[in-house]
Amino acid sequence: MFEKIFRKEWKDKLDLLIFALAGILIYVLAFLLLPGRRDLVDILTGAVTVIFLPFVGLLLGAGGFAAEFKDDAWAYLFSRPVKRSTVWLAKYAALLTILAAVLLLFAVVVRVVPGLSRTVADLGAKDLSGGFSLMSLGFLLSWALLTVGFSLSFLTERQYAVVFSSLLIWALLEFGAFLLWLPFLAPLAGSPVSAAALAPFTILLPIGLALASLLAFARTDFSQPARKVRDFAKFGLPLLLAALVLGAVWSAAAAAAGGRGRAIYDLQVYDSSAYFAGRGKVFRFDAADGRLRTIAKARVPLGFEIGGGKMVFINYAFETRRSVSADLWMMNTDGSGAAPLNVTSRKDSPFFGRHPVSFQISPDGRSVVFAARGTGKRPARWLLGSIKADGSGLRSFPLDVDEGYWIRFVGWTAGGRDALVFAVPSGRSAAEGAATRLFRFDPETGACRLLAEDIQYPSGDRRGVQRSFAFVSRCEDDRSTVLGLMDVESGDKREVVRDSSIDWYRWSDDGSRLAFFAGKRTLGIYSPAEGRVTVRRELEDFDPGRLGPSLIWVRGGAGLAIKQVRDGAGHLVLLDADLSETGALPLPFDVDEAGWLVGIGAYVLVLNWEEDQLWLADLDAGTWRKIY
Amino acid sequence: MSEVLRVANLAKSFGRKKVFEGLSLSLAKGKVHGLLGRNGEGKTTLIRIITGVIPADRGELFFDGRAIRFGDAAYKRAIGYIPEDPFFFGGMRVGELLDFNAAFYPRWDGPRAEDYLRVFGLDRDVRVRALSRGLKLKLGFAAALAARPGLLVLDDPTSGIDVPTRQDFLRDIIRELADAGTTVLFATHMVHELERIVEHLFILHGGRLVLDEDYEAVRERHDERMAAGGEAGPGGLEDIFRSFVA
Repeated sequence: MFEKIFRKEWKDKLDLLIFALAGILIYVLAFLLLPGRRDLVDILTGAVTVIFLPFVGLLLGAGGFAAEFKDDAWAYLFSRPVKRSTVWLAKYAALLTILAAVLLLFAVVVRVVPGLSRTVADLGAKDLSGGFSLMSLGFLLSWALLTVGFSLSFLTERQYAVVFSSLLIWALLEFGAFLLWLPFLAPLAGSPVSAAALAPFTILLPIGLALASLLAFARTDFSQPARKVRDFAKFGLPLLLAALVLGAVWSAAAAAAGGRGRAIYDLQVYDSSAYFAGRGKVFRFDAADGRLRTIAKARVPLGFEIGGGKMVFINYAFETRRSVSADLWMMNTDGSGAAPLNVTSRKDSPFFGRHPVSFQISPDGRSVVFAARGTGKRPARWLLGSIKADGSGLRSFPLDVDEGYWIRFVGWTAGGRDALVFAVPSGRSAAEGAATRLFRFDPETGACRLLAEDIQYPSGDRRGVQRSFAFVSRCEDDRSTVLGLMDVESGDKREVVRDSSIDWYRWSDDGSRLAFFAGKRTLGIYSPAEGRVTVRRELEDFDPGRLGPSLIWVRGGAGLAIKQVRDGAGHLVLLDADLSETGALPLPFDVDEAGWLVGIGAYVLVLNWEEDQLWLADLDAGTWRKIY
Repeated sequence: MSEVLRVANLAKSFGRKKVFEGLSLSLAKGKVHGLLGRNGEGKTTLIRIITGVIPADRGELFFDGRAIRFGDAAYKRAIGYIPEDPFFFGGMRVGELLDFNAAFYPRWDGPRAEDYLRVFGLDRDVRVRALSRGLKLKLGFAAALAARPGLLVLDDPTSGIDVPTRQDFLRDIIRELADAGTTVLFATHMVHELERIVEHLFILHGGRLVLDEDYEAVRERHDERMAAGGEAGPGGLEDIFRSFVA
């Protein structure tokens, strides 16, 4: 009986299956016929995955009992010797398998059609939904809407009413959970939580509705529409409440346990050791013995700086739903002597109602400069300030930049006297064409001198004391991009290289050479002392992967490493000081998952940002090891 | 004689409209039972409760001495049901519907079903929605009878059918079933259709069972009363029915 009803349901829904397959076919054709229109393809891909497929699920579910309503065939079916629960389950199973067939075909098509899997992956909603791929999001929504639609479909023969009611109920429940519950999760997680925390509700709410539907369906009088609704509500309300409670417990447990991954917040090298912050802890990897050590614990150690044998980091703590404290902590690089430098809750503290967003430790480790801005009801004006390593001598000065800027420290002048501060316009300011600015900040007097405007933020490089500040700027005259050096004392600038793009640049540890990758093909090393590019190499058909080449110095400056795709796989290509290739290590994961690279002696650390893992390459042995 | 089905203290309402309350009856094995009542008295409702299509608000149902809960399915294997309005899946073909139906009944007699198709002139490949009302009725009979039911329930199946067709059915098929020992419950508002076949009579009126008796006894008593009163009338079942529902 189950099988008969199951097969009948498949037959009844063949037209919808064909509609879904036709939709997928049209999408594939559009993808193949629009190779140069990436924007259109991206929109189409998103629409198919998170709108069309879930809509197919909704239509399948909403029409679950359409055949039974027609000609009052429900009376025929219910007069047969078959349990109502069998009828419900057989139909639901059939609809699920039909949807699974559609989703499976879509997944196969994405895999098989050249370029399609990368397009879908590129739209991977990691930033939107905290780790959910676009396809998994689409598949989950498809199942959820099928289940909600099917749960309601026995209530009325008007399918349009079922479709709209399903969408309305699902949206109300999901967004209700989002608005009511999500803010409470942040204190549990110790960090902002993403929409992925809604996943338990997206799973449990349809299950609750389905159970209510099954229970009501088995008991109700099908000839009385009002009674069907009453019976459904009788089971639905407590089951939905249970689903909401269970969903809240589930998402809270996941948030408290650290959610999906053990995010890695920062990665830096200092004095033959690599430091990084994971969720709740700060770690140090020592190249000398190859060991990973936990050197500090913190609620959420977002960002740190190292200098003079000390480390400074911000420790975020979500105290209540709306109250976040961000305290500056300092400790020795072995983790000893950790102590807060400020107390955000003290009203006389410049941090009160503000967050230190950027900070930098002096080269001698004796003081810290910081940039802070207001939160909540406090004005969002920026402050620059300094504090001594023992927590004394706190000073702050207003910074004369618009609220639409974000501020980062990017180094020190000679002797560690003045800090270099970068201001980058964001949001509306960026849209209005506001320029970036580089300042020189005197922590003693608060004086702030503009050094340069309209240069790119040096996101890939980090140095302490900088006599020559490397910068990238765009020349509108010939649409070229320039890598240049600026003397931070005199302000004099000179050109290192000019090309269509400056893709990457990195100072050697001793600051004597600047390696660069320009125009997506030219690798070079510049010597400030000689004032020229001392070695250059053209790399034909070079593919660094989606995240760029990540050029780094290795072996203490004796060579370089760069990411490259060869034969369809990512590699770490090793070069000597003359830019001659000395070897190539295949990456242990997809090249587009390789984020930060840092070199420590004969090792390279690579962050897999997708999986939140840290991998160590032993350049001498040619091996990889996952250390975190 | 043993009873096949017993209904005890059944009650059913649709919203505020009470259909019946405290309704009790039993069906004796092998007899043809007639259920009479005007339109809207609750005949279809009672039959739908018996066949498990809708639940009663209160009351109990016993089949072959076993209490039946709403939702029990196994007892329906012994019941054949022919409704007033054909209620099949219109998109199915005749052959598909019979094959679909066969899955529900362990005693399904396939050759018998094919015989009925041939006798009734039904084409296996025709869609159900393309059949006339009369052919749908015949299909209903084929589907019900091929399951070899112990109890056949008919809910005014011949209304809207032409007279010769109705008479063929009532005379040939139901009598044949009854002779073979099948219990029959025939609900109708067309009194004269039952006259030649009914053995036990129920009359439903005003939400109650106003008559629950063997037809012979009722007929004799009615005739005696008519004769004693010197009354002249059409006589027969119709007269009896009028006397209870007037």
